[in-house]
Amino acid sequence: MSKLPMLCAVAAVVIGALGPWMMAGEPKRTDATLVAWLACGALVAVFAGFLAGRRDETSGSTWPGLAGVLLAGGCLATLGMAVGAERQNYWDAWHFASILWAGAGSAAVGLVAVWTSRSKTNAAAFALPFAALLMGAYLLLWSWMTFAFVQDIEGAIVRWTYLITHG
Amino acid sequence: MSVPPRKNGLLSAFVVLAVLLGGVWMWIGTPLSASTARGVIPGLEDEPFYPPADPMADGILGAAREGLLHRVAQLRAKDLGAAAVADVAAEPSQSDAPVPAAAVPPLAPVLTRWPQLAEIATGDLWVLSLYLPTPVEEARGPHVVELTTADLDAAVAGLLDELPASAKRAALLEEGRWKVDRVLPGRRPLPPNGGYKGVAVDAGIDGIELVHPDRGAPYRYLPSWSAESPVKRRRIVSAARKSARAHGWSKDQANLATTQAFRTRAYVEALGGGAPARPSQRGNVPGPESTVEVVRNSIAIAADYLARETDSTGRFTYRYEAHKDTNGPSYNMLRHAGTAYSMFQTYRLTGDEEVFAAASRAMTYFRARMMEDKGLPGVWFILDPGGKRKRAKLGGAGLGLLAFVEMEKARPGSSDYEAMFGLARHIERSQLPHGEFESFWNWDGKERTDRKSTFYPGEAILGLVRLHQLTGQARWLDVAERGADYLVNERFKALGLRVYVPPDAWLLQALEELDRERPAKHRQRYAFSVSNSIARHKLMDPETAPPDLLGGDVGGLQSLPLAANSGSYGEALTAGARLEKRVRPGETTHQGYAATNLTMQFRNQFTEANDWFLPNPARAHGGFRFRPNDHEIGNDVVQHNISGLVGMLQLMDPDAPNIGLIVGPDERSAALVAAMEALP
Repeated sequence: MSKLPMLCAVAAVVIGALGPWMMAGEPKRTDATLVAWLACGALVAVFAGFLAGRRDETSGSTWPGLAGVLLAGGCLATLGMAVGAERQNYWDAWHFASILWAGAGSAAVGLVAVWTSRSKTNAAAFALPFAALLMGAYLLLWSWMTFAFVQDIEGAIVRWTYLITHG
Repeated sequence: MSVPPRKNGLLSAFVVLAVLLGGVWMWIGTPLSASTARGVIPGLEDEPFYPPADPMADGILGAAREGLLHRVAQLRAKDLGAAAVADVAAEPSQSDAPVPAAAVPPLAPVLTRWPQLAEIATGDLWVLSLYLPTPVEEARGPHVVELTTADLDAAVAGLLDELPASAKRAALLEEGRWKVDRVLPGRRPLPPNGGYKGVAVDAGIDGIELVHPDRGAPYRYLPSWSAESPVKRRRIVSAARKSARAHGWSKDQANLATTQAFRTRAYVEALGGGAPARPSQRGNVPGPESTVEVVRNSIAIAADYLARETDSTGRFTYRYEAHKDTNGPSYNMLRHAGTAYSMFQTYRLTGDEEVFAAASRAMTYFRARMMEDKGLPGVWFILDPGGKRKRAKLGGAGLGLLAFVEMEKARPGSSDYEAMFGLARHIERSQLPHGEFESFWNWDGKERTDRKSTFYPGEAILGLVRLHQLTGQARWLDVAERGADYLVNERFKALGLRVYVPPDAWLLQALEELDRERPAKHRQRYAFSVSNSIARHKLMDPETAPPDLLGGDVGGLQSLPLAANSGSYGEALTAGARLEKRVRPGETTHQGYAATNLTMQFRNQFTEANDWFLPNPARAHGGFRFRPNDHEIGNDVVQHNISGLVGMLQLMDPDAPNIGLIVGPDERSAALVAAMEALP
């Protein structure tokens, strides 16, 4: 069994976790760029691990796949924390967009990785639905940013929940 | 033994499903679960929002008004009699002076005046309330009596007899206002404290009835009380308990009492007092029809409010807490400038000199607090109070510029050109090469900040567009266009994603007026996106929204819609509507948004129609409050509403002043022309 996929996975998780960890504290003004680059760097590590794992007969790309799933979740958390802390008053659009793309890319790579490894390890089979869920979440987020009708649906739900709690 | 991958996948699928459902629950689960604690009181499923006309309500309010006036006459006669007696004592030689009659002729029997009152004790319980406009809390009321017999005069007299001494003054009583509630049958048990965050209770609509076995009769906290003063939704039940204690209940009785919701049909007196009764709900009455006259009057009385609240130095009342008749703290120079701007807009409409004079004082106040850049003479900016170490906000320059331009439009030759062009030049130099503006200018050598404002750039761009309308100088429009294109094409947009379309109300106004000079499809599309973004989170459907919240924007579980936002977003929606009317003939979507929003504005302006519960209605008159149940009036809230109404008026009234008036070369004052020529 090659150690390279696992090393890449560990690297991806460690690098990817730095972003949410920084966001959980009091973000400094320079953090936006760093957080964005960390997410992209972790995506590269996931992708490299996936490529390396394709030749692994034993576990395939299981570990990079799991790292991809974790990274995708971490990017979503980072975005959530950024909006929650009103970082839009400091961040540029590319900070948000690059984290979102890094997360979506991680979810996609993770999905493919665990799909191709699902018959080799229990972990891959276990992670597959999570990867699909995250992929779906990113698709939803992307469609909200892209299509007005999705925003209309979101607005309708917000109004509906307001109306069922206010007379 | 290892688990086969297939089973493992199924297990995780279940986990994912649980996560998915958990996510959905986090979003809509809370309101859904909270809504289960709500419900309709049995028998009131078809109850209309505003109560129907009711002859009994007419009779009660008519008789109550007569009873009140009778008491006022008695007090006046008594005072007059006492004064005459004192005069006689002081000057015995005038002993033959007529002494006023101490007694006022009694009222005719109430049933001969209002025969329908004969039925009063046979149906639902009626509760009569008297509100007195005084800052003295014990005298203000509401003073309440339950009507259990047909002798309404006796009930009114009893209520008036029980008033505290500070309330028994003819002048005060004469200004009193009656409200009557018909307590409807049916009760709805409430969960403890009104359920999660009090969601089982609707502020201003649900009354709280406390029942305790040791008390003979229940205590009723009337529905409108939780709207007439700001009570947090989760505290309405505890407010009812507190009120019960103030009415003789012990702490244990109040705390251990069972609570249930009840509803009433509430009516207030006609505008002149007495009958016919006007239906009310949630401490308000139905708003007026949206006509040109109503819009014009609304603008005029709002500007009067601002003029009254401008002191001799030009400083505004920043926050007037109308439910307490007190002023709130703090100040903000951006809002100061915006307020003056709206007053000049009003002057262009009404020609009211008092409004112009007050706004001029306000601009003198503003001018005195401007700073000139030490390294760049002729470039001026503004700092907030106490802000000597703060950065200069771009919005201050934008709104200041708007105000100085509007002043010049209102009365050519009246503005301060050094200040006007100085602010414009500050905006110009705040622009970065790619069009973005620095929102917070580092004027004292501190480190540059990455902080950016969503709204300041739009304010600055609108200021420049208006300056171009005044001077015709392409220089300002060029800066405005570059800034607008950055916001439209680049802000919140990167790597193929439009991350966010903010509800940038000022930018939408700027885009509409920029489009008149330099039309561009991409800016038009963005303007409509902003308008849609605003409308998406507003209650725009009269079929589903409570009538008094129609046009309001949705908030959290605790909040009724922010009427303040109906003002600020109203400016934007009317700009979207004007743009639609011009570039999309035949379409009415955005005009519909503006028209619906307008109704929310009207309902939240204090007028004779809805100020019966205030301690000082005359002072609040014309002001716009924050929310239907938060009666604080902010000068900026009034400004936004005025500007939105002015924008709406342009859609409705061909005779209204053009909000984006272009001043021709021949119409410019000589002083302005000289200042333009002296510009570097």
